[in-house]
Amino acid sequence: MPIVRGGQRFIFVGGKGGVGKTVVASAIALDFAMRGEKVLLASFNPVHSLSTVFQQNLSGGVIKPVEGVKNLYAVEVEVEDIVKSYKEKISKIIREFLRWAEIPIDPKGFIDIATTNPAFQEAATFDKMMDIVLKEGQEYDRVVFDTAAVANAIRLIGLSKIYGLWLQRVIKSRQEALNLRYQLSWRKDKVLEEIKKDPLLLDLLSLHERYVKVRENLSNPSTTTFIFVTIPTILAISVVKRFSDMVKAYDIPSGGVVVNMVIPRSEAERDETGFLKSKWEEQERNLALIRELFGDNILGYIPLYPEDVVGIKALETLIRDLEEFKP
Amino acid sequence: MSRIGFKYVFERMPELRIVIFAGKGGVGKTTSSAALSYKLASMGRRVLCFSTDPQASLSDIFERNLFGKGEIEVAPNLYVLEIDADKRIAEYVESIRRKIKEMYKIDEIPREVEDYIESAVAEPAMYESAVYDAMVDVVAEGKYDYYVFDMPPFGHGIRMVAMADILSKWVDKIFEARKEALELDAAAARLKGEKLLEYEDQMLKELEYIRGRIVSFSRLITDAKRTAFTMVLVPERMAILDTEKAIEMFEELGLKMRGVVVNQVYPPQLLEDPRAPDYLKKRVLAQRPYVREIYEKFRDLIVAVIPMLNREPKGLEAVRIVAEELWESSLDLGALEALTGR
Amino acid sequence: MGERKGLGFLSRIKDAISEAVYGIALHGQVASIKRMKMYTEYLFMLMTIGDMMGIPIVPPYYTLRLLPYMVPNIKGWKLRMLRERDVTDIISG
Repeated sequence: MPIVRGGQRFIFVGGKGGVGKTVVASAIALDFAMRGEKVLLASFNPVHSLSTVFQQNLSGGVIKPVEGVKNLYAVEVEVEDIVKSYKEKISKIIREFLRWAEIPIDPKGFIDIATTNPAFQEAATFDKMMDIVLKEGQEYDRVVFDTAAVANAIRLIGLSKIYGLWLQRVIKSRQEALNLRYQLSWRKDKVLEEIKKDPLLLDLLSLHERYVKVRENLSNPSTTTFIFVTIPTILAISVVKRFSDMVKAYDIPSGGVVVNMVIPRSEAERDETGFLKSKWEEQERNLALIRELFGDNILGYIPLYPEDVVGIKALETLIRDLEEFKP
Repeated sequence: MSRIGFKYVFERMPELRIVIFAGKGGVGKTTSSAALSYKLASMGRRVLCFSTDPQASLSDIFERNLFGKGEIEVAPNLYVLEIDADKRIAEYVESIRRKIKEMYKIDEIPREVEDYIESAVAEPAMYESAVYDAMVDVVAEGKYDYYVFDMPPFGHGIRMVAMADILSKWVDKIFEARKEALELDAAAARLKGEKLLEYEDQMLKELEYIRGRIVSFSRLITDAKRTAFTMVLVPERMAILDTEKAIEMFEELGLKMRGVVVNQVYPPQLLEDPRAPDYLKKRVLAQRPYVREIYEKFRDLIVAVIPMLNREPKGLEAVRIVAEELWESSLDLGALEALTGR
Repeated sequence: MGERKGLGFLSRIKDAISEAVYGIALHGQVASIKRMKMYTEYLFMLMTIGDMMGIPIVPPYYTLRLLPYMVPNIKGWKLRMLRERDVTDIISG
């Protein structure tokens, strides 16, 4: 049985920092690939680590096949070129607008202001995610998203809700502006023609259409699932609890919980220094809490390995343990 | 000098006022922030521990609900501020509404302005901007002797810094544009032989205020004498690689790292201990090459070493233990060197 | 006496005319500066609250603090930005 069983195409993996999200996301992706499915693993971490996990160069913002695994592809998403194209687009829109309104001022300084916008980076990330959902979503059987941290992932997805609101308002504003223009004009027929072909409005409308399609996918429990990774510490558990509520608030279907870095009982029992023992006792309490909070939604447990999980062999071991290991 | 710890940092840097902890998620940034704040407060200084992390970990560490509750005193002289950015944004927006109503003596905001305000919060960087604005505010108020900032974990806090950089550039440009616009008024007045009387452009005043605060904050943060920018990391492959990448990215944004805190280092005695199981010994040994790597790459920057605890750093007692290690590390540079097997 | 008066009268007329001419020219200059100021003002608004007119400029955080000062100008701004250039505008340049 695969780790993620609901048949969903889009799988988001989130959790507190340091719980092993990247490793678990990689394992989930590898799991599907080994079962013959075509999988894309996409990292949205500003500091990418897929290359480290798979020990090959997966950087550069383009989709690359993962060596050593058939059917597995990965991309460490870069948004610089999207940000650049935003700036160019805004620049163009403003110049055209000013030309049309016949404002005889060199807009360069002003365009500089409009394109110095802290929102571009995040909007570009979201844009890229939309791209992957709509395009690669069709070309791959599964897409696994490794996100930077829970809050970020949720904002990325939840952003789609408020982004939609903003888009709607901008479209409405544009339509009203065009309407006003029509009313103020004395060459109504000509203006009507221009309005029907208004490139800005058409652009906005098609952007909105894209957004609607993405929302449909992301809030549909049969196409999307959100997996939390936690470790048996209170700090990590409380993050999962806090954010699984937020995930629900954004209508994102919440999948299960993976519990990582579990000290095996046998090792704790063998430890006479007491070092592991006290950690293990704390862990037992936390595992009980996890079971209480997430019960049937626990997808599996992963032991705390002596070494870093790096490379395909180690990931294969992890997949097996996720299925078989019990704390 | 082999001894390390923040005690020596503060001795070397008498003007130090701000300590920033950055790093990958899960390496102990928040714990370090809490611990250092605790130590400074216990020495009688007024300290603000400020977390920008939306995961509300300070609440977990201090075992109190601090999220969005303003500046709370959790121990004598120790204040914690865990920003609820969403709440702050809502308050900000409400204050703008109030201002409009007051300025124009109206009861209702014009519909299109209301629509605009409502969806302005959809701005993707609004969250980080609100957090940044809170940081600027709190420092400008100057109520504390020390400020300890826990950076957001995503991307090591780089995105936050990059966003702040762009935001302040935007404020600069808008300010300049506004000033130029006013030159035109001045020119017209001169032509008419009139004196441009105390021309009050309220927008310019507002921009001056915003810009002034941002500029003094930036100056403070990039002043190596007054701010110590510290990376926290653990001896694991990914953490080290991430840290190197992050340092590069921070430097590109003008923030130079002053120190490194190495967290979760297994006490070397465990290896000697005959009662320690193989499993544990393997973990200790597996860590060594990474400790060596950190020592080789960052030796001059290592500020403190925190040993692996056998319990979670929750509660004031645990915080106190970490605080002692952070202040004067029991594992000093000599011990680290020995650990690297040289 | 007559010449004196004539001279004075002439010079007063000359003064009056040159004042008028000066005034008209000055007025033109001031008017054109004021027009530039209006354009600049409106451009400024376009860069900050342009999305009110459908231009997808997502406003940075601090834009909201500037909004209250722009409220009374919004209607005029929209009208000016959106109306077609008409005859009077073209004449007055």
